[in-house]
Amino acid sequence: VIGETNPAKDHIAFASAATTGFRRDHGEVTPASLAIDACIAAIRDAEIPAEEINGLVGANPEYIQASLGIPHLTYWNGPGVPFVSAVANAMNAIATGAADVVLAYHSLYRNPMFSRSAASDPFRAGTSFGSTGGGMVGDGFGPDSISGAVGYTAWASRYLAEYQASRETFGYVAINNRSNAADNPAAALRNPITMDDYFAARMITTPFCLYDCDVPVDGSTAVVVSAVEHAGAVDHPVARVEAVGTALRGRPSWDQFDDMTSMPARDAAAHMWSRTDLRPADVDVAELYDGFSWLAMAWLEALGFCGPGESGPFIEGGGRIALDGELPLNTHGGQLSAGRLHGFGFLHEAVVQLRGEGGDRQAPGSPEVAVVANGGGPVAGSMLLTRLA
Amino acid sequence: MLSDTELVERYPGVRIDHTNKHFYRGLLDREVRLNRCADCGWWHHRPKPICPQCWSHEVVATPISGRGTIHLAIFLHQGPPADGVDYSAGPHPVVTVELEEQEGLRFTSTVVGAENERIVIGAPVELAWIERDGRPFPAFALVDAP
Repeated sequence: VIGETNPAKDHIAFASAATTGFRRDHGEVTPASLAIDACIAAIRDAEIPAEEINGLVGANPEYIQASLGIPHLTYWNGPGVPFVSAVANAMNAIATGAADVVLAYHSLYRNPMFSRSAASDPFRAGTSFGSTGGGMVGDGFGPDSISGAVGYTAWASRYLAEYQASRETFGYVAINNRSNAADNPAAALRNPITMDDYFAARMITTPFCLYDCDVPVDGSTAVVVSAVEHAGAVDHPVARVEAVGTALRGRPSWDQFDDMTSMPARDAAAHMWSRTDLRPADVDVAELYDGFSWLAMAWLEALGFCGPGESGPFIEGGGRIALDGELPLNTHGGQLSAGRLHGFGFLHEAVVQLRGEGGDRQAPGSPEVAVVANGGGPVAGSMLLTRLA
Repeated sequence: MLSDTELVERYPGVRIDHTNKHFYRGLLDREVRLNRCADCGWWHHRPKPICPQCWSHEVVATPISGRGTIHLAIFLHQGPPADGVDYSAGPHPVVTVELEEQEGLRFTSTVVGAENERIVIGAPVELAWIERDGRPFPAFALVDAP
């Protein structure tokens, strides 16, 4: 009901989530062909006929509609920032009645800028970094500027200086995620790494080394979002939306932003917590954005699992965030090891964990509450999901 | 004075428009001119058509002193090719400097003439002009503590 603080709570569910898996070489694919494969898997998993879908959120919705032969849409929209606005978009469409069942999808496609193997594929020459645009226009050009990838690195340098933290804490995130990826058949990188490996790794941009950076992949993930009534008919548990928080704050610019160590992650988290009675202690699994290792630490702090600057001690040794720890973190391997999917991978994994379908990487104790976070830099979104049996 | 057409021609590949042209024109004159509000005095960067503080349209590209403190510091072990940047010679420093003009007003560039070990957050710097692609380019140099 419009006017309620959180009309989405308990009313909107993910009837399904599906992924193509994340690979560094998916062969002769395009972003759209990957999206189509993920969409088909998501529709089948939701156990609904394609005709029931009347909302699409993602890149080129017209092309996807035509490819899947979905007869009639009442709502369609581009992806914006993946997950944050794609899923919020889908939820808003359902809440306002613009659509009943929305298919949201996102593909990642290695482009020549990020991948040597992609650079050798002539059919990838014209591709850019997805449809989401890269960084903020006007933040400079050439090496002596700070935006995008090096922007995150620069903000991490500020974090290390302000809290007198060490790179070793970044290493615990990388090691944790890799050991989880070992049990995820869809992950891109599955060989375990140690702290010695971490410190021996090639530096990319100090203070980040190779293992602090997520891995470019080809892959796509799709989810079916609907009112709980539509999702209730399936014969598996579904993930239900408890609360969502989003934020674009301050001076959105890589070098002018006011607080680089917490980012708007703290605002998105505060927004989310303000719309639920659940608390951090209620969370059973955390799937937190790690486009770079430090971002997952920033999210741990933003979400209140520990205080500002305290994520280093919180994850030290890795036991607390391990699969059998008190807060399993990035159970699929995160973007660092499973693969870069602009946050959609975390959403998919949260749904998998709540459904108890994680296989060898399933968090013990039948998780009932999952938190998903996406974003870094000046944009952020987080979502709390609960299991509907 | 350089015509608008000549200004655009001096910066191939850079999108110069009516809002940021004063900044780039300043660089060719070896001045870093950042937008300052003529009504409320607020500085901002990068250039916007109005003052984000008071919405005045009277923003004036104004030279900065060039003095400030390193706020962010990273070192590129690899990166985009650029005139005078040799990654094989060692990691290339990039810093964001908090300028003395106003809290939170920052400018990003490289540091010249210093060992990387000395380029640390908190260190005082001043502008140091170098050449890049045949144009003046604003870099920073460490200022030794008095």
